[in-house]
Amino acid sequence: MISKAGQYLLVIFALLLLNFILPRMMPGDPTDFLTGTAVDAPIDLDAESRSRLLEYHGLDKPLTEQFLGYLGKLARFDLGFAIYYRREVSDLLLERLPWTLLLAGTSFLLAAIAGVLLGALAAYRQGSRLDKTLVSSLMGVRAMPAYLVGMLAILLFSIKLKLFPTGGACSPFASHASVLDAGLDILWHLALPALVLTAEQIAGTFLIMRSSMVATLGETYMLMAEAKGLSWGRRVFRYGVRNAILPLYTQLGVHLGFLVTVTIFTESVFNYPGMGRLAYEAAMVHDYPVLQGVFLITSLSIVGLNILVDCTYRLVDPRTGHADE
Amino acid sequence: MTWSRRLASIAILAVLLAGIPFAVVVWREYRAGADLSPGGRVLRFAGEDWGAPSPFRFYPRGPGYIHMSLVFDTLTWKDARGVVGLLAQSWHRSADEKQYTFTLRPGIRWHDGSRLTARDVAFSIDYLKKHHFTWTDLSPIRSARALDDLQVVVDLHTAHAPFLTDIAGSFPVLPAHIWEKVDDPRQFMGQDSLTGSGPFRLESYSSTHGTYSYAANPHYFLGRPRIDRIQYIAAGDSLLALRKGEIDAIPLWSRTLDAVAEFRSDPRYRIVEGPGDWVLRLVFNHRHPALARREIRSAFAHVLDLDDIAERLRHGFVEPGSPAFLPPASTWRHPHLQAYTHDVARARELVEASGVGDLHLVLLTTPDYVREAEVIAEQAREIGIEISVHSVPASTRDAMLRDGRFDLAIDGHGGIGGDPDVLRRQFCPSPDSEAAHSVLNPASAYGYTNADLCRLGDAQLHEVDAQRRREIVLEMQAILARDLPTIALWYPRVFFVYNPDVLDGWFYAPGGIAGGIPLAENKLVYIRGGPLK
Repeated sequence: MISKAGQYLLVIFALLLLNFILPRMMPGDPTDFLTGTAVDAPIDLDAESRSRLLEYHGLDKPLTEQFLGYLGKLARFDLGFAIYYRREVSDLLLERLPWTLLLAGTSFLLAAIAGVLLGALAAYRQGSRLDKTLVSSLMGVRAMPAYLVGMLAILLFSIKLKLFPTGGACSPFASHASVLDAGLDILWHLALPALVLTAEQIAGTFLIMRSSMVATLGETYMLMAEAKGLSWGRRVFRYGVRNAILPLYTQLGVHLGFLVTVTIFTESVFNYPGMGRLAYEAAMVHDYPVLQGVFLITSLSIVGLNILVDCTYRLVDPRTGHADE
Repeated sequence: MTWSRRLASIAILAVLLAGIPFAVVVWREYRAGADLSPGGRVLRFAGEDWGAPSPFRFYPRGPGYIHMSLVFDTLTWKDARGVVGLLAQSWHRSADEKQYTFTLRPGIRWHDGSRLTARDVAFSIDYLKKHHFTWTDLSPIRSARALDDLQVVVDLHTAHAPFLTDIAGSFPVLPAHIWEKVDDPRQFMGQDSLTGSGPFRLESYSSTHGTYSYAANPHYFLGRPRIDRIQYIAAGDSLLALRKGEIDAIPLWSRTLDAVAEFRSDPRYRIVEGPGDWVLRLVFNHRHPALARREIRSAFAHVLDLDDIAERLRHGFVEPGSPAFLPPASTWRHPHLQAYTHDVARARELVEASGVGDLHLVLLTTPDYVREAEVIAEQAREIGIEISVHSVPASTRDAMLRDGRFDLAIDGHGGIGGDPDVLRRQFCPSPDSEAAHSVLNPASAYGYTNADLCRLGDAQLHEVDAQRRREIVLEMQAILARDLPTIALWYPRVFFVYNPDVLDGWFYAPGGIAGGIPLAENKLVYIRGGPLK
């Protein structure tokens, strides 16, 4: 257990180091984006002003000193001051994080439920027309870039059918009569991006579930259940899905990494104000503190999820506990 | 684990994953619900976060400045014809051209009701200089002092031709009674930081959603704005939002130009065409032994069919490049410079005369301009120059340009439609290399120097007589056309599509706003529906 904790601490340190180094490896520096150097704007900045700016943001110091300063601030839960956005990074992230959690969390749940059910169904009807249709259509959606699926969804559901707004997370400048009103408005704006993000994720869950279920259906206990005359639902859900779902659980950490990537595109297409879009925009303007903050939260979430999976796997699959003992 | 426990676990997971964030955002939005008085004329744009419209907090891009200009005023401004007084009613330049005396309009008030005086102007100059305001280069100013409530004197180090457009028309005048207590303006937030004298007051801003709502200032010194409220709302795709009627106007350029034809045929919209103060160009590395030779650069100028590139690749929505460098709409552009005719035989002769043997070059580009790069490579092959196209992200290209790690590159930038001093800043290195290269691109013409050009560049900067200055600028363009430190490939055409039922009278100010922002969202349109009379 101690060695495992040590491993995780090492991973977290490596992540902090990468979070710090990666933004700085991009060509150019943040002041390029505050001045005329990389900006399509008529801005002049003399050498003195530029060096004052670097000094103000602590970018004039050697890298090791900057890194130690970063660690020191982190220890005080201070994520720093955004260079381009000109605000406390923690304020920016606190504003954006709930929107990403809402979008990613909702779509993750929907994709998990739909992927598991459809995967189980396709495996049960392996080789049938339904199976082939599900595999090809879900793989087709997965193969399409998220921004393309998003644009098509906007054209169809928003422009053609006028069912949902073209973008944003809530009606601008609305004064809601009640909390329920506000909730419905947010759900209305959430529907389309969540649908797109769900569609992008289903295929991964579906394929793992399908192959795992195919293997499970071949087990002798499934044959026994059928021989005992148990109902279809009881056989599939009580004995099949329950065992076949285990590989999905171990894949959660990997899946979260994929989810982060797709969320960036989806948020950009729908102008959804989450952390994914913030990360993309911050990378465009080399805002190191913001990138560090976003990477920190994302990477800690993935590490945290892996720790959670590690710690709870015994509960989900008691057989592994017996093996250890 | 029983089924009921399993369902309970799933329900808890659902609450953790989506329920809690949902509750947080719903509660936040419910509490933040804008209490905006209804009615009035509202103008809506597609929103994006450009920072709070305060001098030290707007994001340093044209749209960020435009937001700030709704709340804060400058001494001068631009209407459809050129420079006009804004806070300043008139100004007087001294005989030695190093001193300006501005007389303010009487009766101007800040949003909090206090009077705006000449002391505020002098304070703003000192304060912005002290705190290194990045948008405006105030270094040509030596000092500023108020003579009385309405008169302020600004002393310059030397005569500075673009003073009225690039400095007086660019720096925001701040209320001294608020900002004199602020030690770190970059951390100054709150309502006080948004107290200006401008035609609008910010009533709602969300950085998260990129939304802004501005209410008209009924006591504005030029009169009450014709629009009661300007709102920037979140829209996924601004073109779709305009078609859907969610917004009333959008600028069209770059990839959205194909939509112009569609809006032209729709009677619900009107279009104004802008100057497109932007250029896409072929950059030479003058430290490359072959590219340092003028014959080779001239051969490129003759072999590249700029009309073909403009028509074939950009469907006519761009103007072909000119050796004058400045864009077609610039009043400073040389009217009689001969373009290099498309003449492959002449280009071949020039390459042969240069004595340069087989030439293999790498052309650096970004994914947006790969087609231009491919056409350039194809046309250069006709004169025996082999070009490999190398596409990289824009920031990588910029770093390679800055370090001189390239042979040829395609680069695009704005800022060329304003003051012609851009020619000096683009092509003349100075001991202060940061300042010399601070305009838009650090490697405008890597390794290129021409002492005559730079002497003329310094002369025009300090020449206040418009006619004499024009002659110098024309001479500079003639040198550039002869030397060909770079080849302008095309200048884009920009358009502004709007719904005239909401507001009409849009225009592009010549040379752009505040030193060269080529946008039609000029605050004078909101006040009088057109240029100042």
